[in-house]
Amino acid sequence: MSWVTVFGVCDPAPGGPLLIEADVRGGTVHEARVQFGFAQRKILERISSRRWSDHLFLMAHLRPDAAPIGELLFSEAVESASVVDAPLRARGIRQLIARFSELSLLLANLASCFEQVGFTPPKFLLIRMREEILDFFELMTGSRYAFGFIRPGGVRWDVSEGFLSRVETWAEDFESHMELIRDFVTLLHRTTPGVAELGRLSFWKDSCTTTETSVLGRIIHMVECLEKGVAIQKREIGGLAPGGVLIHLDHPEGMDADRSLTPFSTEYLGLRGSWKLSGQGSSEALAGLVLRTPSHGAAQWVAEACRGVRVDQMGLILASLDFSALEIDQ
Amino acid sequence: MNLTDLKTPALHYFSSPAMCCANELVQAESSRYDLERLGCYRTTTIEDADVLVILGALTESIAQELVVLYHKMPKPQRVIVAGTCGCGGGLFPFLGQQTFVDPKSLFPIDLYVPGCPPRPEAMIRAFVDLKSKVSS
Repeated sequence: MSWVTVFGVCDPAPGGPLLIEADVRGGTVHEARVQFGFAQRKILERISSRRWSDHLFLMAHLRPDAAPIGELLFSEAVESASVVDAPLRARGIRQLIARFSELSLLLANLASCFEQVGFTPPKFLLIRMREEILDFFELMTGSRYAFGFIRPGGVRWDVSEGFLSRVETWAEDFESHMELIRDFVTLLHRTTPGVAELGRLSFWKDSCTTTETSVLGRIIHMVECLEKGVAIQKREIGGLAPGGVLIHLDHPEGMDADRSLTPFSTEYLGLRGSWKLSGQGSSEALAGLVLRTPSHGAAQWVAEACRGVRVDQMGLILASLDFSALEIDQ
Repeated sequence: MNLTDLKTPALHYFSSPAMCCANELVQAESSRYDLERLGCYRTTTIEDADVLVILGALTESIAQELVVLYHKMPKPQRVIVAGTCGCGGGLFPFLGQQTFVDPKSLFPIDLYVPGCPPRPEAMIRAFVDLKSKVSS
């Protein structure tokens, strides 16, 4: 049982949680309705929040290269529903790619900030630095944006030989680049005091990662985040456990049919994903089942796939979704 | 690039903003790919633009604005449409949230660049092809 969707997973507009509303009769899904990106409607409400985690949440759905975070949360939700743990190595690789995604976002936002004040040399340096991270994405997943790499049960495949040593070298080089960036920031600080104050609209448009409204303040904040992120990445490379990277959940024998879905909540980098059941299915009465997953809009086929399926096998359906758009990217 | 290539005019392009494809176009401008070495320069003034690069799915409101921009460009106008969303609407028509407008219905298109998003190499290839089309 496998459904392969061909839509780009990383499309920022429909991204965001997937809402499935299913009418259940006698333990079987009679009709399912799927709604995409309903989180987008909450974005303006959330932007007023001042918590870092909330802004990351926004970024994760607005920036295309934040796709791994959505995939990660969705996969963890399905694993929890299926009562399956991903292999340790797969979990390490997931952290690695999610951290790369965060760094890539920071570099892009930082480049955008420098561009706003007309300071182009650091912008091009940052874009070049980001290119190296896109290379890592490509080495890990085979594509630069539309990954479809993290999936329920683990990750699609293991990292290639020599990949980790290459990341180590990159982390060391990154530090020398950061010294240059710090020099640029100092130069900017000395030459442009009090310029480039931004209104809330610009703040929103850049999917900014801090509540600082001055470009310089944002730049300093993002440089600090970059430094922390690279330090964490260096530590995580060493901690990658040996072993397999994927447990196949998309075969009926891979899952106990009598297992029922249980409420689930997870958190990564302050980003919360949840899986809730509301309403109880009785034998004949119509009941509303609402599954909230931090997934992508790519799950276009869910409504069709769920129809006629037993409620306790919904996890199997969701685990069989393949978000990949690899062939498009290549 | 040989001397004959140098005789071809520079192309100044104006791109409509979109997330994934715009990122890749920016990467194409970076030092690794260096789009400018081929005589292709980004401009933020539509009156200076030779090429309009359309990225992302066109909604009705965006399409109206693009038509205005197109007519502000010096003639002959050239148009490149890049990415799955730009070429065919991508995921948007399936969502039913927005109405997709086919760019072909607005003005003649010179080149389509497939990909989700197209790689920087594909973007560069599009500009090279357009340059040869212009010079021929």
